[in-house]
Amino acid sequence: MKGPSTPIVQVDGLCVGYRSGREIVAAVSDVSLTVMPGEVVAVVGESGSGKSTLANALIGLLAENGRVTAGTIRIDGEDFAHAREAAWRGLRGRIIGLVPQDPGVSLNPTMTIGRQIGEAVTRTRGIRGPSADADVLELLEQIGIDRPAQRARQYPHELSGGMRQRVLIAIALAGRPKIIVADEPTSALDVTVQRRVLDILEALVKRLGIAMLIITHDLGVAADRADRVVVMQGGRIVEEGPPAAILHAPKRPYTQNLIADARMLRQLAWQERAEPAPQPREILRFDAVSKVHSMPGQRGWLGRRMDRPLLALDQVSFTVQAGRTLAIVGESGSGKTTLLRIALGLEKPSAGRVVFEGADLTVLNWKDFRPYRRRIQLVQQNPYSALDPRCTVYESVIEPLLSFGHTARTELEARARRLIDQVRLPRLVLNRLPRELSGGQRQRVAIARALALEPELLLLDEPVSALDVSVQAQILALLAEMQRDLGVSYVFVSHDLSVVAAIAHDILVLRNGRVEEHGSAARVFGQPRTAYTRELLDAVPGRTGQREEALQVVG
Amino acid sequence: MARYIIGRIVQALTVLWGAYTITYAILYLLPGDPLSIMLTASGVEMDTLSADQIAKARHYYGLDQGTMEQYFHLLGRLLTGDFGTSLSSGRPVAAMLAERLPQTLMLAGTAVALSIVFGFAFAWLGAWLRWKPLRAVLRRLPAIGISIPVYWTGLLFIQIFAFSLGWFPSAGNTGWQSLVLPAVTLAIPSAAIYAQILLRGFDDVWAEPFIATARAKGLRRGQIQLRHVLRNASLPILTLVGLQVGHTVSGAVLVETVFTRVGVGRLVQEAVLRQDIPVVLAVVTISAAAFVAVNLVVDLLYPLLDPRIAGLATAG
Amino acid sequence: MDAQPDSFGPAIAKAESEDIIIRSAQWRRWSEALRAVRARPGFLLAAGFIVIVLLAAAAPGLLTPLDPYATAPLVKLKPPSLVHWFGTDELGRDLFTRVVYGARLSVQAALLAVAIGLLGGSSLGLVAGFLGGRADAAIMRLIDVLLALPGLLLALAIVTAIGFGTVPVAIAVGFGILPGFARTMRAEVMRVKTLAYVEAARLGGAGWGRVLRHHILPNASAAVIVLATLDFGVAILVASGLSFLGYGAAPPAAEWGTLIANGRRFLITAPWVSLVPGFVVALAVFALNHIARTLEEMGR
Repeated sequence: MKGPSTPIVQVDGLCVGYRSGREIVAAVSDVSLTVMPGEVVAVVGESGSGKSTLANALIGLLAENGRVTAGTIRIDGEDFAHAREAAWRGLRGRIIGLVPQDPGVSLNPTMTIGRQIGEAVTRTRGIRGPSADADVLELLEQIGIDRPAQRARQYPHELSGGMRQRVLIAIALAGRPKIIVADEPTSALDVTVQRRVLDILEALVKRLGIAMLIITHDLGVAADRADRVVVMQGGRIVEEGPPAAILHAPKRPYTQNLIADARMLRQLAWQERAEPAPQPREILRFDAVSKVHSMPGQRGWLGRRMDRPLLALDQVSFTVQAGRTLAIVGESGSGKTTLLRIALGLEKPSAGRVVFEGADLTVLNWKDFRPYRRRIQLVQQNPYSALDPRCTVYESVIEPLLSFGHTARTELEARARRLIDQVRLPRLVLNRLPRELSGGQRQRVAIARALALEPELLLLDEPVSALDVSVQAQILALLAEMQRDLGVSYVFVSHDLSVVAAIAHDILVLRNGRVEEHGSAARVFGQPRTAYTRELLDAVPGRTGQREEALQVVG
Repeated sequence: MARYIIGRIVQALTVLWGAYTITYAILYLLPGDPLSIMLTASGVEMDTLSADQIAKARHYYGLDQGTMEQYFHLLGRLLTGDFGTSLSSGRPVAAMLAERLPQTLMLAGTAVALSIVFGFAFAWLGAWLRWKPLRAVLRRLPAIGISIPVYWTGLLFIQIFAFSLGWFPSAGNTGWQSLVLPAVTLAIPSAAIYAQILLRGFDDVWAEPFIATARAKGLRRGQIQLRHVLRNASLPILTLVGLQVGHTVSGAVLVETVFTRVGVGRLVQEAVLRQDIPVVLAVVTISAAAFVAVNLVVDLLYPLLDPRIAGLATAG
Repeated sequence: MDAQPDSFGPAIAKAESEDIIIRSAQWRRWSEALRAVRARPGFLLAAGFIVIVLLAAAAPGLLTPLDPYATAPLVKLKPPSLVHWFGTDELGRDLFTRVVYGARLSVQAALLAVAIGLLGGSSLGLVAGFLGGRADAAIMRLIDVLLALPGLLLALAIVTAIGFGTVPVAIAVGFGILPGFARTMRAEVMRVKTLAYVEAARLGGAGWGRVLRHHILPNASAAVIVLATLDFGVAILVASGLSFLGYGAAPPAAEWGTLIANGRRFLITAPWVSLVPGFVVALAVFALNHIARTLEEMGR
């Protein structure tokens, strides 16, 4: 939609820094950006690129120690770069609306959502009471929430993540702004929910003629939803243009790497993986495993709990071939975590068996399971809590060896050095504490620790979801290389299909504890059999271009 | 919901019973010979008595029963409101308590109210001000309030406001003027703790993401502080108020001693000096009851203020 | 890089030329702690004062040559001066010396109280947090009961039963602060137990013993140490309160609280007799508070 030719947002040569001690650390350098009325612009960058700082600067919500050191920020014609708080307040809600990042923490937990939306309505439209309430209900209907009158009286914790994000959108729209800044609007949500929320946002924005600035780390989201894509790195804009141009003909090396990494995640090394294993040998088998959890229910009179049963896994069966990777794909609540815990012996199934190299694991108690600990290991999801903050990398990595009785110091040190080499980290990392390492480095240390006992089977629980796209690519490449060299089998759990595509030989799709689909990666990606799998594939942002490519290569 | 309430009440009564039992065990079971203590407290030397008189005394004090019998005997009497007889004065303890309890309640109540008001006002100011040096000073002050012994503050206030300036009396219970200095003295430690916790709480809540959402709506600082920050930062204070009851009671003992006021605090202070066991047991039990009652009210109020807890309460 | 991992064997040392020396975490932690401390003058001041107090408790003779019991009626009730830093009391005794010697009793009582609270409370908290379930519920009930008895009043009951003096006061205060330690330890143990690295250690073959020693206790102890420092101050306050009320050591020995109580009679004519020892108490508690807060900040 074309409106008058004054840009809503015009940023010229903006420099923003944070004061740390006596210095000013630059977060944004010489950024110029224009957003016309009705336009959707996406700003893409990894962590540390300055995109969040830019978004905060546009609404005047820089941190205490943040400063605009140069340049102008023109909003609807006026320069606000050095405006006072009172001036910014006039803008907020009325001209610029903000949709914040994490719906779990962006709403006041002790206030009903109706009142929170009503607050925005009152502030910007100046009305109170019944007419304000009517407006709140209208907004709730617009964002597609069922039973608006009832929901308005509910508290945030009573709503799902997707609904909370919609409430945040309603709050942003309440003031009928001219532009919405959406800060990573979907990173905390499941991929199918992500898609619905983005659909709603896009529809509303187009219908009301509002401009939108999407801040994201996901090139796919940017490509799908924006009219124009801006790529940031290290505080500067490195490339800018329509999505098709950026994706297919990137000019700068950084952009090329970004796309290559994202593409690589989608690049299916079909040739390699389409080949069946030379001697298929089963290393792990799940036989009709079911697990019933009892959720804490009401407390009876004497404190006895009347528990409600929850079926976490329902007759799940699959096999893992030696030396290959089985990827387990599922959204939250699919049961994938329970599955891993059962494979590790942390929980016992309610029915069914788990067979590892011919041995039934489900009948073993903790002590009897111990010999198998050498052979089955786990890499956990969160690299930030996977390492004891008080132990150096060396101490963390050799701990499994100590537990199994290897105490000779020379032996341990040599082994530690070799493990660190294997995960491609410099040796001086051995003396570092976890807080001095980045997320990617910590995850490599966790992998090194898991390899210390030379296991045959490695279980990986979303090992890259907390990392940037380029770091993800490196870790996945490392895992693939190690599989080739050491012959380790992987069970790789993820909710992200594009991550899975880079590493999986076989895929298992889980939903609500049931197996939706199971087969080779080529087959599942190329010819998905169930509607749910198709939905998952469609929801992956940026796939529309890739699907055809992939189909072509599979032939 | 009813289940939750009844559950909490049963819990409270159990705790009170436990507190009584422990105090009983300390006073009656710990000492080597309770009889000699009781006789001394009554002003009689044990050596001057014949064996026959000692046996009679033992029976009189109920010490010839088995431990369990005596315990249940006393507990039974307690449930009917009979707190026993004071050894040193011979009067029924219940009567002594009835005379003094209102005074102490007035002192403690005023102190609690003052401490909440001071604490909140202090924290509000500390979070509201933007001028760095003043903020820094305000942040340091509560730690001082917590560190100073309450009886020392009392003496200091007496020295300054009673003796030097003559504004308020230094002792006694007559008139509201005599309540001012003791109540303020008693309020200071609690106020300091509330201020400290609230300052940190305000800071923590201001840093929460939902405050950014509120700011993005265009609200003023004052509106945000009142509608969003205050409610969320105050939640822990409610629990804290319950816990502080104990400190207020302890403080009352010291404050009443320093200001020579009539009250339960001075009663127990003298009772300890004279080893008057029934009085000590009664006062400690009453304090425990007050603690338990206030915390029960806090527990029941909590779901009203925090909707997340309310959800749990109705479900369980 | 090796194509195949070396198997464990006796011979290891391939000469690795440019290699690093592997240091333990202890070394790292100490050097960082020292660096952090040097940057904080407030902490150094507070710590210095506490060291002086501890010195006064351990070897009072080093700080003052005078005798705390020596009476000198001619110089009674003199205000603070260069000769008598804190002035003199009603029997002409040097108040500074009395305070220094009083430190011994007060510090002894406080240390004993913290020891009781720390060991007793932490053990209970550890068991409750680690085992969970019924053991946890039972222990928490017990803690609730102890909490219902206000510190001073519990102390009054104990002192009534076993008599006056420094040790009964210490035991009484110890039981008063025990619940705080139990709750803190329990909360920390429960928090750490669910963290990913504990699970990783268990999956790596570590038994609960090793996990407790190496992971849970070290990570849980930071909060407990902060509390111990804080409660050292609380113990000083409560113990001095008890001796102020008259339940401390018998005269002529004097804890700080007793000194303050003694001076009440002379509040109008010689206020320093009460107020100066009180100021010393407040300063000690404030210093401990500051140290505790700094430790907490450094731990975060």
